[in-house]
Amino acid sequence: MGRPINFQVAVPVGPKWKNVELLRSSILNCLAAIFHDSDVTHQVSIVAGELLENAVKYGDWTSKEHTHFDLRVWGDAHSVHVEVSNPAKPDSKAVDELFHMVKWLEGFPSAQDAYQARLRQLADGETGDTGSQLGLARILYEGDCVLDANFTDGIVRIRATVATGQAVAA
Amino acid sequence: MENLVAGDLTINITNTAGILGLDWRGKSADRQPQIALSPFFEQVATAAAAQPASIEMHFENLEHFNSSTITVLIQFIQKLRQKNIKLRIVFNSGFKWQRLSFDALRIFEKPDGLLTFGTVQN
Repeated sequence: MGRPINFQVAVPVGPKWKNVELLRSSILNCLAAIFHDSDVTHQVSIVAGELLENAVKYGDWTSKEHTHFDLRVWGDAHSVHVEVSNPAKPDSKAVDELFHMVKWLEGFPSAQDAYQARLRQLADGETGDTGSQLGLARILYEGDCVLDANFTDGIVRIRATVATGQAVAA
Repeated sequence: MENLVAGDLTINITNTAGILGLDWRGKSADRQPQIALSPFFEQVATAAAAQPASIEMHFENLEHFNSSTITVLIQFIQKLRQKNIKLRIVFNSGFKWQRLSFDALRIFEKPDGLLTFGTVQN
């Protein structure tokens, strides 16, 4: 029996767009060193990328107090958790839309149904001025993950848990 | 028409036998990918209508694209349908992420045959 897998990566990140791809590809490479399964590593990297993009796009970066957001990735042989925390203003449009979207996604029988419903809305121009907000639907579907979102003390925290199935440690 | 190079993304164009080929390579992870892609797609649609030609987009060599890129792609699919231009999307079904991404887009396939999908596996 091999050595048990247990890993954690935690980094504070400035809200610059270039950091999204730097971190997404870093997560991809880091997990490739842990798991044999490239499908799993891509799956987690897509989840991380979309959550990081949301943090940069929708975080409140007007305060001098909050100049960074936090990325944490941790897990074992069975699951990987990706958590992104960013500052946000209470009662802001960004926070309202986030939780509205999470609730909307939960109303579908499957992640694929939710994702395809969002694709249809985009094709029909039915998303109004809320932006595409396709990222959350995508990570539920392509990431096959469980999503948990909360807002406490001015921080939005979104955690995605991805089951790694039978991925074998490298 | 010239190939598109935008950040980490390159789209190489080929034009043979009535087919405009667009070969996506690298990564499309821009915050606003429509800034580079929309005018490029406009040129492609204009060229396809003028020849006339169908369009074949190859994603087998694409490493990654973000959801903003998918949004631009959906708008292009809709625009081509309005213009009655055929589009074939080819992806690598051996990559789970590509299979999931493009299989989801099959909801836009209709009996008119204007949008079709093909797969390769390597």
